[in-house]
Amino acid sequence: MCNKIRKLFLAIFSIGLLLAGCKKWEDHNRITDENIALTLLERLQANPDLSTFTDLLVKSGYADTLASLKMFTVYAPVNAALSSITASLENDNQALKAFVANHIANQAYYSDSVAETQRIPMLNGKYHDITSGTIDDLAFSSKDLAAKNGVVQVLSAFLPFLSNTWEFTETDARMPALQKELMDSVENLFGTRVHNLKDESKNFTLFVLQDAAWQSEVNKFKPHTVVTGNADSTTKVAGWMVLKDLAVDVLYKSAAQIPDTIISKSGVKVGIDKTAIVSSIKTSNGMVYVMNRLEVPLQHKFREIIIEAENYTSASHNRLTNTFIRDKRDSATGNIFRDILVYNHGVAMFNLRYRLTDIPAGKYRAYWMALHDNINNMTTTFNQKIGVDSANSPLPAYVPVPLNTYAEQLAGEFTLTSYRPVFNLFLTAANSTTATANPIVCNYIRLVPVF
Amino acid sequence: MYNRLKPVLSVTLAVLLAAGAYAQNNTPADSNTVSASHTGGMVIEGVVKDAATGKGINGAQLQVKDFSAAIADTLGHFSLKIPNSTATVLVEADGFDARLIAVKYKETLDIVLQSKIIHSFHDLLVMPVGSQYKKFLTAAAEQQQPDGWQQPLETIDAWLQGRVAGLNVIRRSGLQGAGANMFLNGINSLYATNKPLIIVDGMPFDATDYGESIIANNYTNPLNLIDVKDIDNITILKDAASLYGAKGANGAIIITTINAGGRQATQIDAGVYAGVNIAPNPLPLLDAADYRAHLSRMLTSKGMGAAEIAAQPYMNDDPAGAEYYTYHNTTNWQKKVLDNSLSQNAYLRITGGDNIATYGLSVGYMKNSGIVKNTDLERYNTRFNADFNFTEKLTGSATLSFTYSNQNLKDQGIADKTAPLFNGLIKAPFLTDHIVAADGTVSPNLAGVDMLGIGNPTTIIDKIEAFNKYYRFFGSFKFKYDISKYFTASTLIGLQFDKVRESYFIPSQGLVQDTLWNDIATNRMASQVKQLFSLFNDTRLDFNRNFGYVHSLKASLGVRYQNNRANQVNVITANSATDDMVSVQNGLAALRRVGGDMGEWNWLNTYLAANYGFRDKLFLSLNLALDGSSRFGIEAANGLTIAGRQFPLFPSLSATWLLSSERFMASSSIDLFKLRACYGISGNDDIGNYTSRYIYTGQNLLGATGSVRKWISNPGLQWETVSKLNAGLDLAFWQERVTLGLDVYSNRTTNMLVYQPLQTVTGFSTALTNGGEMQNNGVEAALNVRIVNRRAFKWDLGANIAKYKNEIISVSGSAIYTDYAGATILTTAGQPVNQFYGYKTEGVFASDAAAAAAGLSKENADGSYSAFKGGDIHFADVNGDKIINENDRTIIGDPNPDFFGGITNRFIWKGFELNALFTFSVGNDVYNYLRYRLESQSGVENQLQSVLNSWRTDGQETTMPKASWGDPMGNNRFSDRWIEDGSYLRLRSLNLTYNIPLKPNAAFKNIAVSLTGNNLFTATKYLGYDPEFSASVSPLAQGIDTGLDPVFKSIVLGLRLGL
Repeated sequence: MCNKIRKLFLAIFSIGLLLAGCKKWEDHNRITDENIALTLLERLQANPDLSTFTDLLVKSGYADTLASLKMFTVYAPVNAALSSITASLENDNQALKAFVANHIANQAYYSDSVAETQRIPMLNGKYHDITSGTIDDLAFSSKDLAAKNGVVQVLSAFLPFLSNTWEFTETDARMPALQKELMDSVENLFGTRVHNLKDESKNFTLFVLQDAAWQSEVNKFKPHTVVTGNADSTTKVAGWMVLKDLAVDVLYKSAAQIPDTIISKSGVKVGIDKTAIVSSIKTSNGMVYVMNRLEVPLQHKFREIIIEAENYTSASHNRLTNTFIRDKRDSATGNIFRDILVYNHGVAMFNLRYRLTDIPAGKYRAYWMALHDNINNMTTTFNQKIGVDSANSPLPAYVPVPLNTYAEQLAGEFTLTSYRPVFNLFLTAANSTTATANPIVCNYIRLVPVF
Repeated sequence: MYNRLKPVLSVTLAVLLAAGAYAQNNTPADSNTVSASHTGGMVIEGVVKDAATGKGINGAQLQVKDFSAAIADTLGHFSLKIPNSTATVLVEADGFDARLIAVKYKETLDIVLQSKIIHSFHDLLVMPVGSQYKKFLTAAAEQQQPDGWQQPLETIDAWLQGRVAGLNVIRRSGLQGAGANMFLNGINSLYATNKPLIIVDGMPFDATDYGESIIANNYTNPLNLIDVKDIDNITILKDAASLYGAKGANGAIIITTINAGGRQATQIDAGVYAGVNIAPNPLPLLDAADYRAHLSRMLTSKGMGAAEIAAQPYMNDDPAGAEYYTYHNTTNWQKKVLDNSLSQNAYLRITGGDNIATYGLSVGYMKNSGIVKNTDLERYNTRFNADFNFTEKLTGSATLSFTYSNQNLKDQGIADKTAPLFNGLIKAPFLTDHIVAADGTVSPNLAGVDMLGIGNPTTIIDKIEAFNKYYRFFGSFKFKYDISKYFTASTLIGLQFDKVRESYFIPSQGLVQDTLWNDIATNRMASQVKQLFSLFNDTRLDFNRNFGYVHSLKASLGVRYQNNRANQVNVITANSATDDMVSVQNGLAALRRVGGDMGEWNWLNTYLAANYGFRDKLFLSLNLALDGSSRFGIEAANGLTIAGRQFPLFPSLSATWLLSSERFMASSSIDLFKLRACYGISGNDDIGNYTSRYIYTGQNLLGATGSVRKWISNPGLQWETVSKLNAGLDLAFWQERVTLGLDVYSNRTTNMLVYQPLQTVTGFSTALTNGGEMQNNGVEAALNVRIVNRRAFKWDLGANIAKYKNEIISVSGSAIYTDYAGATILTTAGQPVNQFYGYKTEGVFASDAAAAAAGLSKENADGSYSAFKGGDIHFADVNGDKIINENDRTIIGDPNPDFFGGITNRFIWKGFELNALFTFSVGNDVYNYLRYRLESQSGVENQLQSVLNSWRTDGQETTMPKASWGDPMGNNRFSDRWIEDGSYLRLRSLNLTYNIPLKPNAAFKNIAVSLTGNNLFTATKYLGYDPEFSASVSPLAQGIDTGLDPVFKSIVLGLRLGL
């Protein structure tokens, strides 16, 4: 009943009430810039100098995308810039799509809103670096053509659709064979331990060695990468030793920008001799420099190893109640350090094991810092030793721990004859069950390769 | 109770005894001198004609009061004895306006009577003491006779809009029964009330909403309890209200409700009404697609990267996506909260009686639904008025009314999390109100708070519970004893008692949670009870005598006493276990806050009113009141000291010269020409019950409870004094078809309450003092013309217009800055009381270069400076220091209208009557808070379509600044961007009534069908739902659109039956 009454009333009076038109709102909401009422596609179509790109848009199917009401930025090359490439795109729809999408980004990037260099994704998954007036160092010839759903930046050249650095190493003919071969075989390892060169959102610089340079560098490291009974593996490990320091996640756009020495992700200093650059290749996510020589000295490549004693992998017996992690102040430097003390454990030759990886072959000199600060009012010294591969290896020998000495002490020398993917080092207490004779104390152990 | 009544009774007794004693001394001969004719005098002849037809009126009654009477013959001829040649003849005839004719030495009278005209000078006005013909009034007053049958759903305050010159009626909102704020003759006070005193049937009707509602921005309007159909007439007394002493500063509105009017025949009137309320047109907000583009702009401005934005579920246009259907809707949220609704009203009135008693009784029921869904107002009203003749000399009357209303409310105005209208505006249109499954199936369950942090308006509509139950008893008994022919004693004892009970519940689901000081409120609940008890007595002695029909003297001496008690108790708590437990006892005890207030105040008013008339052409009135009030400080100055308390004296003197009754105008075609002047002093006692006292308030210090001073008491605190000078001219000509009233006035408020800033060492920031002064001048005019006056067709046109100019003379300190809804309101000497004080803007910087050229910057919170850039607002650098800060603020708007008024139009053609009322307000500036929220582009809220113009690129010329998250440059600060012209012309009401012609012996006396439209048409440039709103009774909050439920159109169809 109510509904009937309501309908009747509404029917009678709605006509009369419609007369109050909303002219005031029309005035207030009128679009002040006609262009803002246009979609990006309409905006592009209205510009004759962008007709070639607009045609490509339509052909590629991205025109529909630009007519939708999400925000985009279109980096539109002028007709003249496209004359050289249209032919090649004509019959390759996939390439066309990739090419067109390489010029469209989600969200509107007005020149004003980009304060510093940003790396932004394009619809094809590639990224470009933009500043307020440039994209990949290409200046806008006309900027900030605003539309309803975004903005058009006009370019005097197109943005080439490039491979990324990893794709370069995989597919490009300019890639030297030997390094390519190794990189192929360590694809995942390189991606996780060094840099993921497939990541479009970042920029990388990769140095590539020509075959001869590669071979000589690999040969240089072979004595330290001996895998017993497997020459191939020896070569491969040596190759990895070379390769792991050849990529950085910094973009050096030109040789001039490269510093004399770069520091690789694993901390190795790599000296770059710019005269050795044979060629440079731009990729979608960085630069590749082909070198005919890139030598890293052994002492740079093989760096000393510091083992924090309290970070042991395992103990020979469960003596957690006798194990003390101590924070101490180094009276010499004034810095705080943390060491480990195992006291009154009651086990002869109690030991802590340290699991190390990727240890090259060679001779090592071991140092430790072991502070015997009158432990439990002891006034006598005690002995401890470093064990190589086993807790009671013959070498190095037991070394006494002097009283109240903060300085580093030589703990002995040992030689590894082969490359060790995994290597166990031990810190072993005296062969005694007496509490005052068999403590273990150590801040750190330092292994210094000796060449 | 007896103690309370004691002073009333003793005063009453004393007056009655004194009067009785005086009466004994009178000669009995004086007491029966009323007779049809007197000896002496002369005879005058003439004719009474109908103005429309020119024919004589058969049966017209003529009389000289208390002297002689005659009846005209079939041709309208009469002959009447008159006491002297300056006498006044009262001519009455059925269906015609009565007329008072001055003989002016003429020998024959040619009298023309008009059929009922809206405003006649011959109306008998109910005045503070007794009744007076408007023609003989010395005061500026006028009468309204509301036809509630035509506008059944109005409250009386809103009904008065546009009808009385100088009465600025601003409706509070479109909420049912919210009524209106009334400012009579400008603004007279800053912090005390500006509302005229409202008298209903001789007793002050307390129309104040004591204490705040627990429902956001709800106003409990006591005037809603009076059914307009119950009102017989209203007198609007603009000056000479000194008789009401310390309550008369803002004039008075005197309401008289139904009575039999001396007719003993039983008259039964019944009316039934049904109507539809029409939801306003939605504001033009961004649609779903535009909103999404706007939102991505906002998120970019927030600092989100392109990939992050593209990953938002609403950006994924793949229909296979799990949340595609949740985020791809086109919901008009305004339509989810606003809807057309229905109204119903039924009313029955019976009047009648016999020679012992006559009565008027009425019952009514109203249900009026709001345009915001799930809001309505239900009202049951009853009234019983009766007049008794106990003996020949002792008469009495009773007026009893009881009204109950039950209102279903929602939060409105500034309540971001809970107001349905506001949430309906800001909610993302791509969402919908129900949960949607991945395949697009819509669940019956309501959606919760969305991922943008905005609640669900449908949940607000469906689940918030906010009730207001209100009843009031208002009644009085009056006894009158005719001591002698000249003396009458009377006393009135009345009682008003009301109770407001409110309950409020906010559920946890679907609404943004509120943060309390010690918890997060999931759901919230509150309850409040407010009570008012008021006892009133008015006892007086009247003297009325004319001396030889040359001099007349009416005098009254009386005393009024009023005792009031008000209290308020509220409980607010939160976090009950489930949303099914909605009452306060279920909330967490730790979150419970109990508050309240109590007040008691007394008013004693002794008054003398004396009116002297000479030959019915010269009149003098003297009014005197001596007021005592519990509110006045004991050390107040400027009053008479009686028993250690202060009693201010409020006199007023007024004079009138009726030039048209002079002999020299005997042959003039001007029917009435009258000059009036009045000077009076009255007071405003709305200074707070205990503000002059030492008050302690509870204070918690480290877990211990103690008492501290609430404020620095000011024992010298006194009433505000308002001196009023009023001069007026009344004119009527063309057989009174044209009437004109013109008034100028100058009011000066001294001892005006202000908050005096204090030194920090006092521990208080302000103290209340009488340090302010204000001037309020104005002019107003009312013109009524009967343009066409034929027998079958009559056209009355009326117009009234008023202007006031308000100026602060002084306030303590140089200026008062009041912050309200983001606005700053300036009160300073030399300016009107309420000026919008903010920044001037000069457009939007089109480019960084343009901004750099201007070189403006703003200071940040950390002391650094940020330069304005392209797309920022160009604020005017008023002081030229290149820094935009509060020193650059200036006056940017004035909410006071240049002029305002109304236009009435009435056509009568046969049985049809068409009434149209237009109201207008011109030149009042409005701060559009709602548009400020809907164009600020600083968050995720939906915005008006105008933000499509927002600045994006360097060099873009636009008026809309750039979207910037959080508005770091303050582009949205209170500036002239948000100030608009609130002028409007509105077809306030349009009524078409058809009186069905009936045969004389029909079952019904009359049947009328009426169709009424309210607010049908509004011409305004204001960018909002409606240009009329009033967020608070304070003059400082006028002209601020806080987004209250808007005034809406409505149409009511009615049927009235008379038996």
